[in-house]
Amino acid sequence: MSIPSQEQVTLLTDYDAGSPYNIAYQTLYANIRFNWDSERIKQQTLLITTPVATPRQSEVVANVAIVAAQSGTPTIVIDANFRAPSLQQRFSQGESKGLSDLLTGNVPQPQAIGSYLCATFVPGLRLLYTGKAPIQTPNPLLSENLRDVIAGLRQFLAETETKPSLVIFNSPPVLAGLEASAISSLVEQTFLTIIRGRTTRTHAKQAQEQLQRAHAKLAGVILLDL
Amino acid sequence: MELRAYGAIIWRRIWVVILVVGVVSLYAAYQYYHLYKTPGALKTYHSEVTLAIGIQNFGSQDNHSFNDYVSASETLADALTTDPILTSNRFDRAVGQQISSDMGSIVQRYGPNPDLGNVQDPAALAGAITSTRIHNQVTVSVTWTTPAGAWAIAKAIGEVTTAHISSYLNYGLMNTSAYVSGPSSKSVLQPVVSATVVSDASPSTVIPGASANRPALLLVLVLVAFIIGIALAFLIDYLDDRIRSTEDVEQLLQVPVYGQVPRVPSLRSNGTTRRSPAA
Repeated sequence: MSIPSQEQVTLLTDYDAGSPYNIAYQTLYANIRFNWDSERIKQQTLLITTPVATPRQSEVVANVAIVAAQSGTPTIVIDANFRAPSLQQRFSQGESKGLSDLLTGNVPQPQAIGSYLCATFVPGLRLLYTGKAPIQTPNPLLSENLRDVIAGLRQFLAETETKPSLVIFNSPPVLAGLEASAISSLVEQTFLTIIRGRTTRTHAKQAQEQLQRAHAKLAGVILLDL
Repeated sequence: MELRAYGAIIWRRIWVVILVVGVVSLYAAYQYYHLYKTPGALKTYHSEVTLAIGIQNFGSQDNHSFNDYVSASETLADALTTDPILTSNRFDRAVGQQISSDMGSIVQRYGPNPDLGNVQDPAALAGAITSTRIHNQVTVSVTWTTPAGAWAIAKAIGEVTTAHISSYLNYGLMNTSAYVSGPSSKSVLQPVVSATVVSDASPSTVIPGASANRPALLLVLVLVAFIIGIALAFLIDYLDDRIRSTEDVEQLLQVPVYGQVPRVPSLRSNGTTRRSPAA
């Protein structure tokens, strides 16, 4: 996408494994993992979003994915935040094909979806970036095409991975548009990121109500200190 | 648990309490400084002198009874306390001059360069003098900003009064005995009023000043400001819509908190822990 982000995503790999910051993410992922019946759902899909734009949204997505990958769970992060893409810049991959290319064209076969994924410096972690194709937001076709993309990713993971695997979506804020609601209706679990001392009760409640209207399964909240 | 929550609110909004108490404390300190610097505001000094007012007898012309004397003395004493004699400009200037004459005894009692205050100001002296009467005895009280001044003024009042009472109470006394030769021969006798000091000027004692209760009021003001600050802290917190705790979230959204992530720590300067590619 052509919208550069000035946001600098803080990656967990910059810190010692024993640091409180690192341990907090390990605990967070452990709690997500406890709630995941991997016998029943081999390819878990998650959305981590936020009521309104915050500078740490992408950080949470990236770091949960890093912990998951480091824990041995094959993980794919999908950057669906077309408004402010940031993960591509942080993982220094340069421009590559991504979600917008999948959504605007015909969804390829599951085997071909793998060519859209970019490996990262974290073993087991791959990223599907926002992509190069221009996309209008909100895209009325987003939900329908996205369903096919998710199904294709599931199929791809089922064919390539023997272990239970994880797909994590990074989306724009819930109250900023329909993207988060559309994605939340297609994933197994949705998590709302709330920043202590900054997110208001009004915004949090409005975001929850919006997600409920989309029939999202709001599993829980991730609380951040700013 | 409730107390802990209240404590957390106060701690979070402690700046409000500090701001309110700080501003009021500055005001109170400024006011107290003024009081401290104002002579006689917080403490003042008191001295008094008691005088007996009487009438000399008229000698051979006198045909008055003892009761007449007592009655006349009480009337004159009453005139001294109720008429504007002690607070008159003339009397107070005379007191100021008398104090200048008394400097020897004042220095002897209070040491060299005693702080007398503005004793040469008749208006200030007039405001410092009050008097009461019991029969023919008049007690003149002096309230002054310095101990030496209070004593010196009381002493000077005693001296001026005894020396010049007749010039201040120069009422003509009608010689009623002359009526025997007819009303036309009635004569006016010269003033025969006398004053004697019954008790000398008392040593100066400290008494509360006119604004002695102000420091306590200022302290109460600071305490009230503290209470208002606490109330404001709670009000601001009540009006603040931001989420503060896991309990807030769980109560609001009825979903669990999966994790709490601390603020992003700063990276070590040597970069030894940096393992990801540079952005």
